[in-house]
Amino acid sequence: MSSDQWQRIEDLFHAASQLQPSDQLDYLKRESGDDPSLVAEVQSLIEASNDALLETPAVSLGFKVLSNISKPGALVGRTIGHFNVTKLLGAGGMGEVYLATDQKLERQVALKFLNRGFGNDEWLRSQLILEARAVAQLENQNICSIHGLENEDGQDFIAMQYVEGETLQSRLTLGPLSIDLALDFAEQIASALSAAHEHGIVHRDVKTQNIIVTPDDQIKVLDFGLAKFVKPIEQTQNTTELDQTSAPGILGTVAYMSPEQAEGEELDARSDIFSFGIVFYEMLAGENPFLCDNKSKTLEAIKNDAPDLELDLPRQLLNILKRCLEKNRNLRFNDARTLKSEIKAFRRSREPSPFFTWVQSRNFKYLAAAAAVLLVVILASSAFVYQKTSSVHSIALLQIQNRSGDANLDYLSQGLTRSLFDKFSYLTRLQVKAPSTMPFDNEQNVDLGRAGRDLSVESVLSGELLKHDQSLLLRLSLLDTSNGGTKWQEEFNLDAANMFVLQDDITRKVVSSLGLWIIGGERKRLNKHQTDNDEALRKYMQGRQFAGLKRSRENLQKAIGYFEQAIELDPSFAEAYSGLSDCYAVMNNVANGPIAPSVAMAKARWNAQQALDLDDSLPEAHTSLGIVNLRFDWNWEKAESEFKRAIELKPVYAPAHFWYSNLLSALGRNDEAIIESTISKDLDPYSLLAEQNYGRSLYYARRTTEAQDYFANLISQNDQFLPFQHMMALVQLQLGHYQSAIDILERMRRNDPLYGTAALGYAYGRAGQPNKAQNILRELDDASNRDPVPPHEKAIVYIGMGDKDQAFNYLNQSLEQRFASMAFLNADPLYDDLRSDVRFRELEQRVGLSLP
Amino acid sequence: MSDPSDITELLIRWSSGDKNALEKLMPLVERELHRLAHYYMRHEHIGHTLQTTALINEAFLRLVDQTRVQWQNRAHFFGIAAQIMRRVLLNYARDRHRQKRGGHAVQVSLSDVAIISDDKSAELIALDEALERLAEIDLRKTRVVELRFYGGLSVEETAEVLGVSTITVNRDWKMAKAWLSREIRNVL
Repeated sequence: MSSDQWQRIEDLFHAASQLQPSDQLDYLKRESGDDPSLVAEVQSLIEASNDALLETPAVSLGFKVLSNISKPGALVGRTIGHFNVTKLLGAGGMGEVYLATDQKLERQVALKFLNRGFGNDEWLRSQLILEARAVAQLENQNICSIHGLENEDGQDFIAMQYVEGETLQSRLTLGPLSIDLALDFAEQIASALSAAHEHGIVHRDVKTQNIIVTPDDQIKVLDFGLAKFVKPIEQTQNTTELDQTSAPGILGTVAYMSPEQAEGEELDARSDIFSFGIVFYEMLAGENPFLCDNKSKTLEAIKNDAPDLELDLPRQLLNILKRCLEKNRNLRFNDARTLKSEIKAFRRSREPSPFFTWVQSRNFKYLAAAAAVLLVVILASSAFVYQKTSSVHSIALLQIQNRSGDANLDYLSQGLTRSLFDKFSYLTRLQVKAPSTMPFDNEQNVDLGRAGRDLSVESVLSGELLKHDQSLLLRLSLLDTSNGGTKWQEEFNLDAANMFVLQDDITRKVVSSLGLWIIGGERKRLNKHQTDNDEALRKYMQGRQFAGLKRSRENLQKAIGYFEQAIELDPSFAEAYSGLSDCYAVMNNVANGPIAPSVAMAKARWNAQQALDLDDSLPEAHTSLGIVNLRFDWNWEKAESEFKRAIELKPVYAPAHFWYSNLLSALGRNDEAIIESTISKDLDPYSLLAEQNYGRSLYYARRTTEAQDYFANLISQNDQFLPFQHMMALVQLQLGHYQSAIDILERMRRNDPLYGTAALGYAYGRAGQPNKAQNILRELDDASNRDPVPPHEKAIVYIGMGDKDQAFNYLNQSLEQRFASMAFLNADPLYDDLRSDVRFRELEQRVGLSLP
Repeated sequence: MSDPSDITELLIRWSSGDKNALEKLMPLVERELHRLAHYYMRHEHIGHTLQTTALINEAFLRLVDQTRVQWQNRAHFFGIAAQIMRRVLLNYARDRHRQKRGGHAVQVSLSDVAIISDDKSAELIALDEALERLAEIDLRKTRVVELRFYGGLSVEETAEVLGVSTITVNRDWKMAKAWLSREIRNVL
């Protein structure tokens, strides 16, 4: 359209608009020179001019819009209240976060502006204030603290601690973290969640974007409890097209939801555990286990798909992940506290064990007198030196497998393992671990790779006994765990071999393959043999083999037989006496043997003393004597000095740590007991008894929920080992879950009628089933017609039934007969009901447990 | 906060035809409008009436060193403010429109109660497109509409900003309204 034409239209429009509507058409026809299109054009304009368009200026609308939107970074340079906004830190689903200077307090703060203001919703605002206050009180170093909820210029925002660092999300773009760093972060995150959960605050939005990693690897978890109040914008829109989106912001939020969150259910702490599990998984594997290319598929995966746990990670770690990522929240960790302690325990198992620190301390003994504090500092730094130097090697000695087809040779494979372990343990620059049981893979082959990882060692020595052309062969291989290569491999013919020569030969070869050399003092100990009688040694090995099996009456009696034969062959064979002592020392309870405590303990003591008389430097002998002092004499000082002496002689001797932890539990020194039981478990990582012992030290320490989680985990891996079930039942009793204790104990007794009788009677009593409890008492009486039954078993049933008089009656009997369990009078929660009674204090005094 | 003398300088340069200056000026002015909007919305909330023109004027007074500018500069400032409002509203309407059709998530968040109805959004989008076409035919009328509708200026203020008589503004306004109404009718 030319400007002339336009001008013409405009002129005609203005002129015609002045006229009466009836005159307009004639006028336009005349003025336009009868141009119909021009007439129509102007007519349409006149008609449209009555529309209401543009009548109300849009400027106020514009301001309304302006006041409601925020462009990213729009607030930079502004002063809001007493905050000087300096920088945009990030923008996410909830809103923008700015760096600002608090002019009043002269500190840097982060301001989080909420997308959705509260407007007139004072209730919502007050709820958020309450939540912010609750979070502000948490004071956990891993929680980003909230300073306050503010409102300025009509904007709601949260002022919080400014943390320098990057989000975990951005950190993970570089790939997965090392196991150690992932564990470190995981423990810190769990610590933050734990603090919040204990105050009833559920995070609801645990994800890698909400976790800040500072430059010195400290974790700060952001936005506790805010998710409840601030709907991310993606949730405010319900469209089908959106479901198909792969916009990262939206996926970033749904990809960390728990299944119950995805279903829109009520959330509790366990939802955080699941989200944590995803974050933990991502740290280890480098990717989110459920993330798909769109939102609905991701949600489906969270709800239905099992995460891929075929990761190259230690078994315990995979178990932790699995328990976080259970779809059913009842199967997850109950709260972050338990989760945290699991992670902590696993981390501890990877660290150089406390015993090593102890080994080091021998070198600094002379300092002990100077200052204990100084010693601790030096120990800490010597442990540090240990980690940094390569002159100390680590080896795991796996049990030699008997593949000869002759089960009678089990003693030989196990005995050889034991004596090689003893040899290696004399080498001060070799850290040795020797699990008493084995990590098997699915095909029942020993899983060397897993062993290497679980045990965190440089080398794994494995071996097998083979029959070949009527010859008995021992094949040994030394595996380098860093590259899976074989450092050394050799076959030995055992037919004519002298055990001592063989052991020395193997030791020398392994030591040189590791690049170590034997130094003077070590050579002397290595060459020292407990007996020169090869046959006695073989009998001794057989005795140890039976003593190391399940503690049953039959096994112990067989072991005693072999030890006695060994002694007959070589009456100066100290270790054989120690073996005998250990058998007698555990033979005084219902399950293990028919010998009265006084008889069993007399024999145990005599043999332990005999062993010591023959060789005062024998750690086994000191341990045996310690056990006697713990279980029968209740001479705590003597027991402690014996265990300490044994550990000093041989820091890697697991039984010494095992029994020392028992002593410490009995004395209520629970923290130390847990350390010792951890060491014993570390030294013998696949030993079920050591695992049970660790859980029991938690139980004695009244860390009952931790013990519950621990045993639940053990049972999920092995539901055949009755001591785990028994401990679980005791834990359930302590938690007041009588019926579930009864279920476990009744099931157990179907497998082994001797196990858990007293606990079941106690549980019946507690659950209000006195008739069944009476039946148990009768059963115990019947059993005592055959074998001596410790009277305190009946006492326990009476405690459950609330009959204190009878309970004290039987406890006194047990005490007079000096049953070992009385040593645990203070530790055992089953006796808690009696503690306020004056008669209990008399018992304590007689056992020597009351405070002076 | 940006140095006000900067804004003044930019405004003077834009008034003398420097297009680069306008690019730099727009976000600065927008930020101030944004801030004022937040501030005054809160007060409106407790009963005050929003004097929008006064608000733009306040932005002008706050941002621009008054001793260094002439009335033309003020006109240009108001022109910029009106253009910003026009764009803010258009973006808002478009977002709202997309959202209704189920489009992707938007960068800005919307309060739960819509500020602008769906019909109004559609009208704003159509109006903007019609204004684009009008600008090709008659730029001054587009400016009049911008100042009066988006900038909220009176006829007299508009005349002052554009340096024309009030009669011209009235005529332009009437014609533009009619033309835009008809164009929009064809679309809506």
